[in-house]
Amino acid sequence: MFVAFCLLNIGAMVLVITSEHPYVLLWERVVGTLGILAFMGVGYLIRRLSLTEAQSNFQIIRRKLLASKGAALGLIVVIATCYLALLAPMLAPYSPYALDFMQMSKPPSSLHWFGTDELGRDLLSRVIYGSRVAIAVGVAAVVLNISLGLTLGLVAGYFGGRVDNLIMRGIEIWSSIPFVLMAIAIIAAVGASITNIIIVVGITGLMDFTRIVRSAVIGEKSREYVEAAKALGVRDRAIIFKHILPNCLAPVTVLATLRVGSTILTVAGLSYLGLGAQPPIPSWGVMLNRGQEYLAVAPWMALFPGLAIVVTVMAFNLLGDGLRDALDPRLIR
Amino acid sequence: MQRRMVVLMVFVLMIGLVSSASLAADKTLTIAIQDDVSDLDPGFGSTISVNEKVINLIFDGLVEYGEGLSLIPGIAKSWDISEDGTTYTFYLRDGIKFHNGQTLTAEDVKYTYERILDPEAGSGQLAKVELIDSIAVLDDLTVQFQLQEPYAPFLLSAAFGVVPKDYVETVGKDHFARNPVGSGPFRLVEWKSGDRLVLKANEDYYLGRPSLDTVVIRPISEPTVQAIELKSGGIDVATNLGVPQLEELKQDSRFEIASAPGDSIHFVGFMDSMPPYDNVDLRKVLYMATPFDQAVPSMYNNIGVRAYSWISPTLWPDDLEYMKSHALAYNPSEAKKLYDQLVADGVVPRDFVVDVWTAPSSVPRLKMAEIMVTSLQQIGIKARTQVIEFGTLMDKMGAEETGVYFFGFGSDADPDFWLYRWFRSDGSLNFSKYADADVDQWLDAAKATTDQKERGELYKKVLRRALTEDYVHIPFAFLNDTVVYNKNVQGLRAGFPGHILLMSPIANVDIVE
Amino acid sequence: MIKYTLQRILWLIPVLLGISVILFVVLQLTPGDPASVLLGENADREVVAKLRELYGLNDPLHIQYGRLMRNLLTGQLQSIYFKNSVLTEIMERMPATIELGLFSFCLAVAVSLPIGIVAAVKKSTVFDYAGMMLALFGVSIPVFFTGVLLMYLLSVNWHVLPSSGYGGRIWTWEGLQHLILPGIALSTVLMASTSRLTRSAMLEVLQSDYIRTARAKGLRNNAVVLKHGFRNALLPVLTNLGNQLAGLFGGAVLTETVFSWPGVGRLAVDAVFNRDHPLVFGTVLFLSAIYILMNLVVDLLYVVVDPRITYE
Repeated sequence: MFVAFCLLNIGAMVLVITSEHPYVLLWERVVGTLGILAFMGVGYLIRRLSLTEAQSNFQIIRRKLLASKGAALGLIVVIATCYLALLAPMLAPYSPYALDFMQMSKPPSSLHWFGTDELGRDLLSRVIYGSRVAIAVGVAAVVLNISLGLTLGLVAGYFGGRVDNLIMRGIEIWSSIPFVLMAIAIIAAVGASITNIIIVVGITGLMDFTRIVRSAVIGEKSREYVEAAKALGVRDRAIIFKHILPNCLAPVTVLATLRVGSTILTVAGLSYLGLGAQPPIPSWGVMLNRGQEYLAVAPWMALFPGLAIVVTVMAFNLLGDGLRDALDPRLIR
Repeated sequence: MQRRMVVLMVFVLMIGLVSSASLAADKTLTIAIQDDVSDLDPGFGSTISVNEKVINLIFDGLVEYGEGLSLIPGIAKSWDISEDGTTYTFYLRDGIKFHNGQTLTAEDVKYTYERILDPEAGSGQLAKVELIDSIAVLDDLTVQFQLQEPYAPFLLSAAFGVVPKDYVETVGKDHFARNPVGSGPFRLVEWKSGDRLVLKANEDYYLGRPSLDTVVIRPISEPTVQAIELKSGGIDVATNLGVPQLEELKQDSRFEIASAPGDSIHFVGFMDSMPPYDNVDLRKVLYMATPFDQAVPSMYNNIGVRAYSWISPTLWPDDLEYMKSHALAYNPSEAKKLYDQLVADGVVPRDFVVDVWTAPSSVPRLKMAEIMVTSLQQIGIKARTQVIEFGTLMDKMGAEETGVYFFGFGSDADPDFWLYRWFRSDGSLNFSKYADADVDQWLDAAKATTDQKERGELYKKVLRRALTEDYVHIPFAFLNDTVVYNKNVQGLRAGFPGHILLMSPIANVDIVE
Repeated sequence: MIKYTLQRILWLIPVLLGISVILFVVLQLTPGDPASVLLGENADREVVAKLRELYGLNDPLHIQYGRLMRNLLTGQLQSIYFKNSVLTEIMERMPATIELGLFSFCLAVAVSLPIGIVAAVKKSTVFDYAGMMLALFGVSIPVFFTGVLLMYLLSVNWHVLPSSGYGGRIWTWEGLQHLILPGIALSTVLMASTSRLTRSAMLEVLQSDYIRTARAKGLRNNAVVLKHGFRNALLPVLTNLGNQLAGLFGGAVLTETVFSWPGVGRLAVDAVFNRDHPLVFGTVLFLSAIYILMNLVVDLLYVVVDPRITYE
């Protein structure tokens, strides 16, 4: 299986490097190649981990995860979406920007599999490119979310007392403001760009991560090994990173996976309020929002981006559920 | 038991009969508008278009719009204009009553204008009336306006809704804005914030009672939802539909579409004060690189037409022939060549990115901006859209940060309203900071002349200079005024900007089963 | 218990104060001012300047903040855009917001608990898969898309329900009819997450020792499930519901926009877009206060449901 995986990846890499589509940019080739190499690296790592210790935790989790059909399906779709994002220029039949005034709002055909939009652009290509914005915004916002939540949660949980109080109260105030309103106000202030959307979504909704990490830390802190380490004079930082952090990883991973899905939805919602990615950048949310106006006359314009959102978000949810089941030893399926 | 059932059934039937009878008697027209109404004071709230539409149902002006946007008697049954064009005398109809029963007099008219003229009040309508020098009440039914200098379009400002002096002074401005009392065909009876306004027919209206009994106005911001509501019977009239919705409703035999040239324009503006956009050649590059002629018909389809000039087609002077022949045609290769030349000459920096600014409030306009950016990218000029919502855009435009901006404008039926503020070097809407001594002089001359032909010639010169020599703006679309309504609505017409003409000297909308 | 409640209510003060500061800062950082929005595309810059002065937008920041806070506390905030008292405006729209929130909440509970329980009891059957697929779909679809689809289906094609707007109070027939579509749209996410959670909580309980014991002792399946299982599975479900309930009121902005629902959420969005600072203050603080109070109510309800919890 690993060999097949490698061959597929090498094939993809050849495609990235040699693709002759006129609109493939140099940086896209470089990033595509690097991305595929990274994927192979991860694949290799997983293989090594599975080979070495037959009964390691990792083995058990992997087996549990793949035993659930839903989770396996979710994983496959998520990975496929990532590849789609990396290989978008090589896979898309047309440029997602190419206007064609002769081909406006045309239904799906052999020429344009998903039809065209009101500017005559190929929808299939736009949906493929849209995966980039979705994955980039989803993952980046969640990474930002995690790093903030993790830091705050660790500090609050580990130091406790007044620090804890201050941080938790601050976050409580922050998250009492209705999210959409906050997002609108901030985006109105800084302008809608992909970076700004990532920041806005990334700095809101910290509550969940912080709480999880904090309670995990408080739980771990009183364990004997941490107290022992403390008694031995190990520094705070070392204790946090070596002992406490690894134990928070499971719930954080689960929440993060689910969060990527909900972030994609949130960003689509912002597009509806006119705060999406700047056109003509292809983004599913903006496409769906525009498409729904044409629901009665050109339903494909809403259908395909809508499906793309639903399928991707579903996949992240399935994967997240699967991970929760696999990582949580209490729940036996 | 059985008897009780019978009684009950009879009772239910009776209720049913009574209610259906009263329903048939009450002619209710439900109209969807695009936004929440916020302020129904004609002197202050009317700068926002949804407010203006409702205000015009509740208030009447001295003059009203007639066929072909001519001005016909309204509250004033006639008027005189002095030879030198500075004195306007209006003779009011006798016995016109406000909704609260008070009689409308010349004092009310005077007050209506004086509260706009008050520089401390901050009315958005000030620009239209600021040339008024004094207002004199000659008798109860005669009012005279003295202008500082001849101002040809003054009569248009006489269309402002007249407010009742005593009432406004008693309740105050803000209360009046929410509880308006006018003399128009309908009076406000209920205002549920964010949900609906309910208007009832004015029984004492001077033209006679309107055929409609009740008018319900609902804010529905999404065009899609307006179309859905129309189809599901929630509303009778939709006023804010986009291209796809019209496309959809055109095929539906239950509805009628009325469309007429409107009062607004969409255009691209360049900052004349912001290098490198001060360079005329760069503006030409952007003009030639964008396929306006192909894009406008499809983006605006049935809601607008390609514009070549800056003044609405319903207005004079007509200079279409000249403007059209001097518009730049789509020519990407020429544009690219010129751009490369500009880069080589050092006018445009090598890594320059064209930022195209617009607000998301108009979908077709946003798409035009998108088309410009895409077209530029396709010939290798770096470009991106900067779509920011309206409040921010206004701020950025004021700060002269928007090199290329897609914007809109609409005004009343005199070229002066359109051109003076936008093209005069110190004009209050001259965001582009366009400054041309000749243009200034022509605009001043046209303002002071009452002869329409002479004024027309001057405006032609202004437009030719600004748009086909200096390319400070690229006008590309005139918007239509479009309403879609149920077939059983009779007599509804489009093309009266700022109005939903339900009852006026030339209209009386009715519902016929 | 009473002391705890009082403490929590007192805690509202610093929270709302904090929010007001955050809001003020964000509003100050936002370009644009109510004056130019008020005048629209015709905005004359001289008049804009005049209006700015009139509304005190040129005053030093601390004075502006102080004025907003003073007016807020005395209930005298006046909306710049709507020319109306902020309090009146909120009061007029509050019923719509609360009705929609509560209705969606009840709908979500009424639909998702049975689905979750059936899915757990009939694990790995058609019921389970169908229910969970539906739930999964519910959390994966953007709410505005659900909204438009529902409208096309139920009001345009089948003519069974009005498509948008407010019909009247919830207890009137008209009002209830108008509530159904936005109610469904708003509750999908909660419905979906609750049924998933109910299922997994039930599964966990059903596999616990005491249920097995009860079964071994020969109790009939239904009785076991309902009596023992549900009570114990309820707590995590309730926690989730509680967290989400608060969100339903502030998070209904999209639903309110799609369905032209005259709620406070939409008012707040308009206020932000119009730079109507007093109205932003009023609405956002109101929504936040509701959010916090709802959380408090839920926390207190835990005590009722689970006697093991006490608040000191």
